[in-house]
Formats: sequence, structure tokens, C-alpha cells
Amino acid sequence: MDDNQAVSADLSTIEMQSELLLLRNKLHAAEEKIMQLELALLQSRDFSIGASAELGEMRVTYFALAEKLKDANIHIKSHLAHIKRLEEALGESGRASAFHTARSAELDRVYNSASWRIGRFIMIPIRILRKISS
Amino acid sequence: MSPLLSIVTPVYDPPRYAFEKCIETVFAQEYGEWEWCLVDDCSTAPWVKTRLKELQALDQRVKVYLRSENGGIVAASNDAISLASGEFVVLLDNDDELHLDALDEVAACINANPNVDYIYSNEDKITEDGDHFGEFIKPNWSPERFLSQNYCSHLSVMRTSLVNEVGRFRNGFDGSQDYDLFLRITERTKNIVHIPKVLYHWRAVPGSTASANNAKLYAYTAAAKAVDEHLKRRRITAEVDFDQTLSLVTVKRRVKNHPKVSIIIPTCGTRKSIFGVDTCLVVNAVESIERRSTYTNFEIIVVVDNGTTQQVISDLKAVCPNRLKIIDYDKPFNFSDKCNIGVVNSDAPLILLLNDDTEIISPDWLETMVGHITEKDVAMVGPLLLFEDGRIQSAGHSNTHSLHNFSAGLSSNIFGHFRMLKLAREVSGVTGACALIKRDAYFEVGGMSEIFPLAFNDCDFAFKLLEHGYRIIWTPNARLFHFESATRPENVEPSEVKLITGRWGRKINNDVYCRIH
Repeated sequence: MDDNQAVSADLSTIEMQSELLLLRNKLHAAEEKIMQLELALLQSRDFSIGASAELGEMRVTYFALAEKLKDANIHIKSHLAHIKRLEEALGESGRASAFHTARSAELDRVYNSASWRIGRFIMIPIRILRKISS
Repeated sequence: MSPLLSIVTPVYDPPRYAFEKCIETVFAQEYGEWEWCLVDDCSTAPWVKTRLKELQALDQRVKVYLRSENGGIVAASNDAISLASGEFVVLLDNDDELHLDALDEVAACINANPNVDYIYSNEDKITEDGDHFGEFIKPNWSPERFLSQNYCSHLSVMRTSLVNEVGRFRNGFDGSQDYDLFLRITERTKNIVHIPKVLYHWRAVPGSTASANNAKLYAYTAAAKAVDEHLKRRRITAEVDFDQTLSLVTVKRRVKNHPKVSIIIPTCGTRKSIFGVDTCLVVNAVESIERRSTYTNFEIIVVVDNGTTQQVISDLKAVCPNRLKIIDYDKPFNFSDKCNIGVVNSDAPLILLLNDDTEIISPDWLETMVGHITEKDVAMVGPLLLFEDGRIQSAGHSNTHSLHNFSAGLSSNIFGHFRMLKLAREVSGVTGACALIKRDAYFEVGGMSEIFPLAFNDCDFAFKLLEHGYRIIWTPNARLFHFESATRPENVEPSEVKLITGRWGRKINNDVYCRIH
């Protein structure tokens, strides 16, 4: 009977068990690491998809605002054109008013002239006769 | 572009007033590029032939063929298609009415979608007196819903070449010949567009399908046959039947291979009075899964908060000794993070997120949900969740007006708009309280977003799936109790609203599968 062989076999089993334990610990650590990486992967993907969605949302908002801006610009342009037309009308009205003032002054000058007054005086009997006949 | 639209109408002894109204609405169309292919199926009333000849003489766009013998709806419809020279065929029954803009809308739709093969619109019904009622607000293309009901029905417009390619209408499907044709058409194309406007008025005359759902039972038998053959062509093994009470085709898929499901339950060991008994929610949930489920290939992963007592853990191990995994969670409460941790600790191809305040009702809940998710483009499936008193807690999500659980608070006995609460259908999301998800899809979209620790995480997740082209299915055939709000605060933080709107504002109030509130 060889006692030494049995002892070495026992030793070998203990070594293997210890090795196995070590490997199990390593495997467990690796599994933990994989899970952490998977979680990080989920977070990264969510971040990227979320950011892309936010970008899409911003784009929609941007296009909506751009449309509003376009409408506002058209509105402003139409207002400016209207103001221009009003200003032109105002200028026209000013010119008409000046013309009217000038004409009024000229009429006043005619009515106040000696020849107009004399003429009017001469015409008094004719006006009276006309009134009587009518 | 002004595509030529061929209106196809088989004629057989229609009520005269209804036929005259039908004629009126065709000739009153805003759009002019149409031809009308009318086939008389040997009507017994002599006025029919005379009137058809008059129409032909009146307008060269009218094509008439008079059959020498009665061949039935299929033969007459196919003869009418033979007359069609347009790029698209428009189906119109001889006693129904088109909306005046119908063809205009169809032409605009074709121009906006040049590759479109099949177009359908909303519809309503019309009485003999011309009163409109029963508007059917339809979803965008929903293939799952289409298996239960021919919801596309009227108005249907199909590319003529495709109709010819699939062999037109088939004998043996009388009453549901259109359903059979649509099923075959939709097998060949994904270019299907819904016009969300009422373009068709279906005459409800005594005895017509429009007036009573049970008026044509033979039509439903044919419908079930059409669906059965459709599924066989798609190599989907399922039991197909017809539910006479609901007037729906029922499809129960047979699950092959029974893939493993990892059921992930985040919990903090809360207790609540359920049916008058003080209960530990998570233990009750796990026990109900173990006790009631007929599906056997699953594991249960419970993600427990630090504060959870040892008693809860012991009770869990007692009710589920063989397939339970406990994962400790030592961070502040974050539902999404807890779900993600549960998922990375699982290895199954299917993940089921489950709240701890749930209880299984249907023993075949997993088979039903797994059956749906085996379809390639389906990423998530949700069941019908009921409050403790039996009212609906969630029948899927709806984004119309705001993000909410559809039909919450209503009786579970009601059918819903055109029986939508009684059939499996595409939805814009399902509640995270119970959702079966493909593992690959879960990883593809980055799982549950941790920026939503309490609310909207399920809505965000659903939007991500939809954005990636997946379908989400809700089914009323898997039922669970959801004793809601026992485990989390009800209030939604304004910051969460801002976050979800910042990501998906364009999708809110724009639910293509559920346009009713």
C-alpha cells in the first residue's frame, strides 16, 4: 500500500477545490461586471435615443416657430404696406389742404377787392327787382 | 397627378330610393377622374336594367355589364373588376353613399403616398331617412385588430394590379368576401394608409349587416374561415372561432417551444388590505403566479428594497421555492432602475415587468401574451388590468388629449367603441404594471429610462419601441387585478410632465391607434 499516493491525491483535490472556488469568485465578479456593463449600455442607449427624441421635438418646435415667424413677417409686411399707403394718403391730403387754403385766400382777396365791392353795390337794384319778380 | 379611380359596384335588386341616392353621390363627386363599373347580377326587378342602361347613355364614364344569370356577389364583383381600367378600384355597394369629397380625398392620399396599395377611411351608417349615426373612428393600420374584425371595410380602395395579383374575390366567402380579399391584399403589402375622415355612408336597411350585427351570421362564419386561411398562409398556428355575442372573430395562438419568461417584480414589501384581508402584496402576486399560471417555463426575479423585512423574503421563498431569485436594491426608489437591474439579472428571451400589487386572474395569461409576442415586429404585450372592484384599471394606453390608461374606471363588461375593449389590438403603449417585452427589443431601446423614476417610464418606453418600428399589442384575453397606487405616490411631478413632453410632445394627443378619449 502506498500511503504517499493517497496523501498526494487528497492534496490535489484540496488544490482543485481551492482553484474551483477561485474560479467561481472570478466568474461571479465577471458576471457582476457584465451586469454593470449591461446597465451602462441600457443607460447609454436610453440617453442617445432620448437625446434624439428631444432633438426631434426641438425640430418640430423650431419648424412651428419658423412657420409662425414666416406668418408674422407676412403680417408685418402687410402692415408696413398699409402704413405706407396711409402715409401717401396723408401726404395727398396735406397737399389738398394746402391747395384748398391757397384757393380760400385767393377768394378772400377777390371778395375784399374794391372792384368786387363796387360791382356788388351796382348790382343791388337788379337783385331787388329779381326778388320782387320771383 | 389625377389617378383614374374605378368604382366597382355589383348590383342586385337594391331598394330603388337607396340606389338613386347612391347614383346621386357618385355623380356629385368633386373629383372627376373616375369610371363606374356596374354589374347587374340578373336582378329580378325590371327597372334595374333600364336604369343602368340610362346611366350608361348619360355618362361615358359609366360602364355596365348585365349578367345573364345570377352568380352571387363574388362573381358580380369580379365581373365589375374586369371592367375596371383605373389604377385603383373603389368598392361601393349598390345601396350605400359616398361622401361628396370621397374620391377627392382618395386622390389626394394617392398623390401624397405614391406607393400606397390600400386605402381605407372612417365610415358611418345612414338610415332610410338619410340620418347619419354610428361613426366608426378607426385606427391606423392595425393588423392584430384586423384579425378580429374587418374594421377597414368601407371605404376601401385598392391598387387594381394587386387585386388582380391576389386573384380578386373568392368563392366560398360570401358575406365576408371583401374581408378575405383585404386579408390577402395586406399579406402582400405594408403600404396601407388610413384616411381619418368619414368618406362612406353605409345604408342600414332591415336585414343588412349595417343594421344588425347578427343579420348575416353566414358572413361571420365566412369571416372566421378567411382569418383561419390567412393565418395558415402566414404559418401561424391558432384556433380561430367566431364569437356570436361580440360579433368578433377570436384568434387564440398556439405557443410553440414555450420560451422562458423572466418575471421581474420590483417591491418594497408593502402590505395592503385586499378583498378585506391584510396582505403582503408581493407575496400575494408571486403566489397567484405560481398557483394560477398554466405556463410553466418562467422564473421570478424580485428586486427588493433595503427596508424589506426578512419575513417577506421567507414568505416569498415559501410560496415559490424553485424558481425565485431575490435581488437586493439599495438605492433611492427608482422604478425604472429596479426594472433594469432585474432585467440584467435575468437570462430569458422574454421579460415580464410586473407590479407587486397585481394578481393573476386568467390562468393562460402568459400563453396569451407570449402568443402575441412571437410575431416578429411585436415587441411588447399588455393585458387587461382590473381594479379590485372589477372595473377597468388599464386597457392599454391612450395618448388622446393626454397620456392615460384607456377606459380606466369603466365597467369591464362594456364593449367599447366598436368592441375595441373586447379584441386584441395595436396600442400606443401598455402600462408598466404588467408588460411582456422581448429582451432584444428591451436592450435595443435602452430599457426603462431612469430619468423617469416614478411616472411616465412606461409611456417613454413605449414611444421608444414605436419609434423603432415595433408594434405593441394589448389583449383583453389576459386579465389581472391591479390594486393600483398601493405602492407608489399617485401625483405626477410637473418636472416629469416637462421631461416626457420634451421627448415626445409631438406624439401626445396624436394617438394613431386610439383617436377616441
